[in-house]
Amino acid sequence: MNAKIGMREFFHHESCMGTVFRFGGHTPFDPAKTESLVMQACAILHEADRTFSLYKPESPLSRLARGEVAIDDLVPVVTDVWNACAMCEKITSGWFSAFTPEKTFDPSGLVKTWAAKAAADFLVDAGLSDLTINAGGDVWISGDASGENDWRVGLHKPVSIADAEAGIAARVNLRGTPYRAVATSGSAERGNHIWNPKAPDRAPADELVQISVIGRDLVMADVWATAAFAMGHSAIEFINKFNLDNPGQSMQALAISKDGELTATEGFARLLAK
Amino acid sequence: MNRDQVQALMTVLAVGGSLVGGYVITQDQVAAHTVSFPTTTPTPTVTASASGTPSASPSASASQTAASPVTKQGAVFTERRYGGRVQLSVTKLNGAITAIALDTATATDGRQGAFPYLVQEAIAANGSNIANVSGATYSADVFKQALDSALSKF
Repeated sequence: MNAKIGMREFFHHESCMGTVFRFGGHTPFDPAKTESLVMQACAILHEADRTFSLYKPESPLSRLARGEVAIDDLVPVVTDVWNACAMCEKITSGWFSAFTPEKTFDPSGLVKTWAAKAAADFLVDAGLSDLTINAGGDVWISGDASGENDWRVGLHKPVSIADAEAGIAARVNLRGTPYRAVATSGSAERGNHIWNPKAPDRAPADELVQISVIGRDLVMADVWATAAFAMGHSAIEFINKFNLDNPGQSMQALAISKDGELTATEGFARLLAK
Repeated sequence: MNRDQVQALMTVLAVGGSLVGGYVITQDQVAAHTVSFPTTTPTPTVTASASGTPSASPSASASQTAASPVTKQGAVFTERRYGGRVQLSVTKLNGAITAIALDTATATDGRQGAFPYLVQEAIAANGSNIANVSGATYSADVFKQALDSALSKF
C-alpha cells in the first residue's frame, strides 16, 4: 500500500542455508524480468552456501576446516569473508569471533547476511531498488522502499514459533530514522549456540535469551546482535557507550535476559511503531 | 532509559503476554483454535481446523456487492522441521484480511497443536501492518509462504 503508481508488488521466498530468505517490494518491471532478477539474486545466496557451508563436506570452507587446503588456494571470496570477520572482531572489541572453540574458522555468524547484502546490492543496481529482504529473521529495508509496512518490523517474542506464546513482542518503524536493518540473536530456536569469545574455553553465552539490534547495515546489525548476545547483561551499556563514541555508527537494541528482564538502549523507545 | 522505564514500556507492549498489535487473544480462544478481532468492522473470525476439512468459506449470504468477502486457498507447503503440511485459506473484505482458515495442518511428531499459533501470528502480523518479523524462524517463514501464497491469488 502507498506504493508508487505503476509499480507492482512482488515477493519471493527462497530456502537456503537452512532457513528462508524473503524478498519483497515493488517492481517497475514486468513479472518475467522481475522473476529473472530475483532468481539471479537467489543464485548469489546459493553460491555463498556452496562456498561457506560447514554442513557440506566438500565445500571450500569444510576443506579449509579439515586442514586440507590453505586459504590462499581457495576462491578469493573466502579471503574477503575472512578479512570481514577480522574487521568485525576488531570493531566489536573481540565480542564477535569467527573462530570456534576448536580453533577452526566458522564465519556462519556473518555469511547469511553477507550473502543477503550481496543479493540486495545486485537487485538495487539492477533497478529493483524498492525492496526489503528478510534473511532468516534478519531484516533489511532499502532507502527506496515505498510501502508503509516495509518500514515496520516486528520483533518476535523470545520463544520458539512452535511455542504457545509465539507472537510479536514489539513493532518498530524505521522510516525517517538512520536505521535500515534489524537483526535478532537468541536461544529460543537453537539453544545456547553462541559461544562467548571471552569466556574460558569459549563457553556458550547464556545471560540473555534474545537481543535485537537495529542498525544501518544488515551485516553489522547481525554481527552486533551476535556480539551483544555474547556480552550478556553488559550489552546495552556497551552499545550506549559505543553510540556516544561513534555517533555515525549508532545502533539501538532491546535485550531480554533469561530472568525476563528487559533493557533497551537510550534511543530504542523512539523507534517503536505508533 | 532506565530499567523501570523499560519495564513500564514493555508492560504496555505485553511481552510474554497475549496482547499483540491491539488484539487480545485469550487462552480460551486459543484452546478453541479460534481468534477474534475485537475492533474492526466487519468482525473477523479465524477458525483453525486441523481436521483437513476446509472451513471458514465465505458466508452463503454474501451478496454480489462491492463489500463481498473473497476467500482464496493457498498452496500446500511442507514444514521441514516437523514434517507437517500447512494449507491456508484467506478471506479478504475491502482489501483487509478478515479471516484465515487453516485447511490442512498435519505434523508427524505431536506438534500439530502448534499450527493454530502460526495462524495467530499471521493475524497479529496482519493487524500490525508489518512486512517482516525479525527473529522469525523457519517454521514462521514456511507459514508465511502459505499465507503469501493465498494472498497472491487475490
